[in-house]
Amino acid sequence: MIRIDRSIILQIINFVALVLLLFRFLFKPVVRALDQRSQFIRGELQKIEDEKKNLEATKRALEEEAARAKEKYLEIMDQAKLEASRIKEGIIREAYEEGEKIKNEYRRKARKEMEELLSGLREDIVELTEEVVKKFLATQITPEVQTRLIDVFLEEALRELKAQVEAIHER
Amino acid sequence: MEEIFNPQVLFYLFTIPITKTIISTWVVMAFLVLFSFVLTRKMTFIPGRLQNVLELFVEAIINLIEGMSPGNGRKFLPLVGTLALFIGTANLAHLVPGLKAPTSDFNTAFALALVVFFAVPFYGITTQGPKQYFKEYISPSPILLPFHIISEITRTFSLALRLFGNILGEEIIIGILFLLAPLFVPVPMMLFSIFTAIIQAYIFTILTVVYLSSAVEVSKH
Repeated sequence: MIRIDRSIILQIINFVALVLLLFRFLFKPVVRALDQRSQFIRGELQKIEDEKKNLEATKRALEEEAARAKEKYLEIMDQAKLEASRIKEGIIREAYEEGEKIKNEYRRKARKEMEELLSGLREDIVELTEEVVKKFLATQITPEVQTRLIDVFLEEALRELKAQVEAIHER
Repeated sequence: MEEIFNPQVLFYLFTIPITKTIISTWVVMAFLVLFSFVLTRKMTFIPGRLQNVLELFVEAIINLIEGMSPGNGRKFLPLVGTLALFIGTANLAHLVPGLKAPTSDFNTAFALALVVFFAVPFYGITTQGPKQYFKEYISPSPILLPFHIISEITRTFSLALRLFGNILGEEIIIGILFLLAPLFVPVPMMLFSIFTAIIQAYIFTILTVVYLSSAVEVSKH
């Protein structure tokens, strides 16, 4: 027959004592070791996480810097293009003005020379006419001959004048 | 036959009978405390083999409790862990010549069950408060109060008897086999008893966790 005696009290005390002893010598140190390791791992993970965040922030900053640099580059390029365009227009305008100036100078010179030539030609015609008149008078040429001679002379004079004008133009 | 159920009293200590079971219990206790002390004396950050086993055991107990009662792993660990270790070791004590499995004595099994019986309201009251805890006994209806009380008492006896019966049965079978064929025949049975010892320790532990978790769980009624 199963009998419950007073030894049950001792067994309860024994077990409670064992709980306390094992708590002191087993569970407490093991749990502390586990906690320390977990804490260390958590710390390391946190460090990695922080490092990752730092790297991401640096990356973002660098990307922003690169974007700003690109923006600045484009701005400088635009300004340079504008400047170049302005300089180009200035050079073209100056060249055009210079060309116009040279052209006007030559035109003025040509006109002057033409006037000189025309004046010289007029004098030549007068001299020639005088000579023709003299010859005519000397030979007593008929009116028909006289007219033809004058025409020939005038044509010749006109051709020479044209040749001189063309030469001036070519120059 | 009488000695099988009630171990022989060796002497008396202040009117308390000191039986072979008590001596075996002290041996088991001394072994566990010494073993723990030696192993945890030099805990290293990177664990060695034995420290690994120890940590594995503690973590397994914590996970077992957390699985049924989340957040209470550390709180129940001393009691549940000690129960698992003590019952496991005590169940195997009969394999050591000269020792008797303390759990094959009803007084030990009943003492352990009584510890659980008192631990359940202790944790329940400290977690929920006395009002909320005792309210559970009359919910959903006060008619159920006697049934709740009977359930508490019977489950305590059931815990004790299950452990006691299995271990004593095991010891009796091995004893009979020793009488019949002492050389090799009991060996498989002894090997099997290792398995039974661990299973019984596990059952007692898991049932304790179930009772404790139901005590600390705040009722939805």
